[in-house]
Amino acid sequence: MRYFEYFEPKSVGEACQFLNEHEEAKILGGGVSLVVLLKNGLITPSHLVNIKTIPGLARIEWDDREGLTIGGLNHHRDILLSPLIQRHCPILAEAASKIATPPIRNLGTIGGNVAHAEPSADFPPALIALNASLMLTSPGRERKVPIEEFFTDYYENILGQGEILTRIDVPPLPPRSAGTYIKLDKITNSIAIVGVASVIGFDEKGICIYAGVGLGGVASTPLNVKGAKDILVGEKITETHIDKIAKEAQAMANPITNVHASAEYRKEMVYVLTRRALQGSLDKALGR
Amino acid sequence: MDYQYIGKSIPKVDSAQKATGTAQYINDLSFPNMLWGKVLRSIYPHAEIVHIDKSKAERLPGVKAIITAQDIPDGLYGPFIKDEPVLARGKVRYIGEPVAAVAAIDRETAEEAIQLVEVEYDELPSVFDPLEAMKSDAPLIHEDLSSYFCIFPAVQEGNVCSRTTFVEGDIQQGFKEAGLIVEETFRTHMQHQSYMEPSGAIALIDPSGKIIIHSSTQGIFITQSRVSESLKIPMSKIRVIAPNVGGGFGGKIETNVQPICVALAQKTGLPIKVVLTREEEFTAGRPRHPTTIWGKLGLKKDGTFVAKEMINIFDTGAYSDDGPGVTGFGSLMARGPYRIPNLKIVGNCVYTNKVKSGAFRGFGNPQTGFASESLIDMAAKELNMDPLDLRLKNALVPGDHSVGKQTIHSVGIMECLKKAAEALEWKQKKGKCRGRGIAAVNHISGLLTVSAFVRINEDGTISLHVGTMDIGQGSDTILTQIVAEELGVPLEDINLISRDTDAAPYTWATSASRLTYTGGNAVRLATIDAREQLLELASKQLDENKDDLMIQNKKIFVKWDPEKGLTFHQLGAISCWVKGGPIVGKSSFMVETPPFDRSGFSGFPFGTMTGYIFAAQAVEVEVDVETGKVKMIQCASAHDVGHAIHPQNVEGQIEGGFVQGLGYALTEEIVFDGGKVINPSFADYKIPMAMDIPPITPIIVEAYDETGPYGAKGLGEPGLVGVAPAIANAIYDAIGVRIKDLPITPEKVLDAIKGKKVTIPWTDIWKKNF
Repeated sequence: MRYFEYFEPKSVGEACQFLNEHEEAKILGGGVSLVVLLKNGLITPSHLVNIKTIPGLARIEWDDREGLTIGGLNHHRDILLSPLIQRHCPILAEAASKIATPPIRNLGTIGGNVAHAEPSADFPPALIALNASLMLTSPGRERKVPIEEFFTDYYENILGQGEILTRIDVPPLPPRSAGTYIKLDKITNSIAIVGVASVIGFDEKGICIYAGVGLGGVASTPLNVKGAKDILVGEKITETHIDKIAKEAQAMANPITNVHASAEYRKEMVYVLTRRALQGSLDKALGR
Repeated sequence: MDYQYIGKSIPKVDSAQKATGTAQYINDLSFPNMLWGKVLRSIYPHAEIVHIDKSKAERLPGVKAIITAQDIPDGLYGPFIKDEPVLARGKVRYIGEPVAAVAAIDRETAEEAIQLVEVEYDELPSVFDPLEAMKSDAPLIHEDLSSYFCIFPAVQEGNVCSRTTFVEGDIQQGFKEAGLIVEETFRTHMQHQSYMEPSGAIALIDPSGKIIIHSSTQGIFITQSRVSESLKIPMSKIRVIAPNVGGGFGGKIETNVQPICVALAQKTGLPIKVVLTREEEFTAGRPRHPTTIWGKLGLKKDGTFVAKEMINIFDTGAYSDDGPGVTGFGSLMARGPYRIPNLKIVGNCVYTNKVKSGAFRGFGNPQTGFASESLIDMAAKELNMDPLDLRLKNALVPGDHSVGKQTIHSVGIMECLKKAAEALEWKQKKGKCRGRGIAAVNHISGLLTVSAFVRINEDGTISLHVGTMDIGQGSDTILTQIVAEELGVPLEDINLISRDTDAAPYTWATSASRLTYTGGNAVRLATIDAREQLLELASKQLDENKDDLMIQNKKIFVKWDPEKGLTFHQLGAISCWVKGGPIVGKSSFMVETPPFDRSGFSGFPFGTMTGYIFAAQAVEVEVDVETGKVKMIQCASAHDVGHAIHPQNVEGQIEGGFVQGLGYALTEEIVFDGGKVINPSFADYKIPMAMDIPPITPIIVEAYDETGPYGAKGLGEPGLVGVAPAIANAIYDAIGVRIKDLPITPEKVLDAIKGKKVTIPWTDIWKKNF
């Protein structure tokens, strides 16, 4: 039977300590992933550690040099409505708007969305395109890792015993930049069959100085299309560049077949969506 | 004619309860000492049960009873063919079939207990494709088929549990006269009703030994009779009460957990609740039949339909359930609302080792309609005709005949087609990758029986006793409006008593789009009967001629002397205490006329049907040719309802039906790996949500039907039927590719764009002479 103990830590330190001491404990944030796993008997934790009552985990702050700091406990709705996010990286709001429905957006947290390591999740491709880093906190220690290094396999990540994803840092983008997240879904906002995020930044002459492309739903983890940077930075972007990146993205994809789509279809769509995402960012950045 | 209540969109009688959340559903009910029941289900698609060991489960604290087939009577049940046991007896025939059931102190204990029941199986060869199941060497799923009791003369062969054939004219001659013949094979898939409330029941035994079942059902009397026949309990010992029902769409006509619930209550003597999980709904519910359909349509060069042949293979799964009816009715509707003089339609209802399919909004019509309405557009293309014009050229007009040669007088199909097309500006230029499509629908709304009593209470208020189930579609409101109209009383004076077999007279289920037409007729006649008795009594009391009396504001008085009269209150009191006896108006309504000419029928499992209803759905789509995604731009759905008794409710039904059709067409599908459902949750089975719903223009067409109450006919089902073919036709119009198998997924569209051929296996079946 599904019995578990319930624990409400007062601080991150206390939470980490507790998790360190209880191997079978799970973190309860928004609960949108956890409760589904729990109800279906896919996990049987010994303890649930409710981190929602810990102060300071749900903040969104901006610093001109450091960029955005987003606490792991921010709900998708917070991301969607935050003026700071709207101003500095609206692609995150766009990704948030494509997650499920308002009730779920009111519950789910960005930290949970990332830490669950669902390869089709909507925030990771956008965060990859933004070159975001994650702050992982454990007893007496903090480490900052680039987001794409966080994911290791389907629903697997590098979080160690007693470690909590507390914060997401997004470095500032060039002033003339834009991002686009698009996803192919069966019904509006259902799980991404393929999700592609792109962010492009330009200097005053229209030369690309920043590029990032992230993919979701097409491999065991979200993917970073690293070639985007090499291909675009220093260039005036043309169709040819876009096509080249889309092909590279497609080559990286290693999707599976499931009830939502076949592997072949997903692979084909990576190309189509990458092109569209890049074109979308280009149009936005150049005010077209 | 001027009506006081008919044709008015008054607030629905149950809307306050529903809106405030006070309406009670099965899961809201509980009783002292109530136990939870849980069903152990087969994990094999076809296997002999060698041994069941209950001992471990019995030792679990909190477990009160465990039953298997050995512990209950050996009754078999089903609406058409009595082929299904309550718990698997000897062998299992699908993954999900009930094998044993547990009663325990709570849900968790019951869930744990069933996992401790050990079942030893010996697997048998299984068959999942109905075309394979029809081969002579296929594993036989019901060896005893010929010994089962059938309520109709079923034509059976191997795994075909029912074959229905309709022949009219001379099919060979018809095709000889055709200047164009189009022929194609289509496939449709399994859709779940996805009602918000999963199926469930509570059974208890009262001190007298009577069994009381609280049943989430579309038919209290059907629950009563299935429990009776399966557990061999006289109907007089069974009382069925229904709480509010959170949707049904056909899936809750027949029983699901009710007999199991009763068997557990009998064993323990305590109240038992069983409510399905969503996963159980998907794996052991009663979804829409998948089909493979071959169709051939012959036309003259001018577009006149001359001949049509269709072979419909309905995959009914492990038990026949409503399959023979669905197959027969779907095949009856396969001609469509058109004149076609030469016809041969064969429907095969075939057992496979999958979850049993059953009744679902449309009842076979969405499947055959998809094939039929696709064929018409294929022909239009060959003839270079507008698909709308081709339909209008062949559409039925008043005085034309049904299959089975009934004369149909109320026929609004032309107006439906024209108005639906008009709403989309059919002839206007379209944007890039955009296309428009239309489909015509015929259906029925008069079937079987409804009875009703209308009593005048002592205080002059009214009690309407009728066994109909309002499962959200609005029949309680419609029937109350009818009583109010006939007696001229306000709605709040009417006490509608239904949902209880001990309080309501017999009624067949909420199904076949029938409650407005069939139920409305019964209630209207019962009310008129009560009214006449009231007038009779007033005439005697006032010593005035009945014809000189009139009714207004709950009072009967002399037409030219309003002072001389009696109130309903006075008349109610007089009838109950002084004279004449309590007033009870009654009606037992049965759809008997017009009869079918059955000379061309074989194996059709119904008596007569009437109350023909018509509809047309038109859509405009935009196809993303790179992703294959179909975007709905605008839609119109026009329905001939005879006379809209509650226009707002009619519009709601039209929109709801359309959306369910949209899911059927584009995204919903129960997917199998062999006999196992691999997407038994809403995470993986996708119904349209608010964001997916395009603008829908509901259009009410009123071709007055003299046989219906106030000219009204039904509506519930056709709203769904034409959506999928209209979308398929619109896709063809947009990008020139035809999708022949549902659902229309982006992947299939993209494959079609690339010219990938869709092959339907084992086409030899189409050459067989049925």
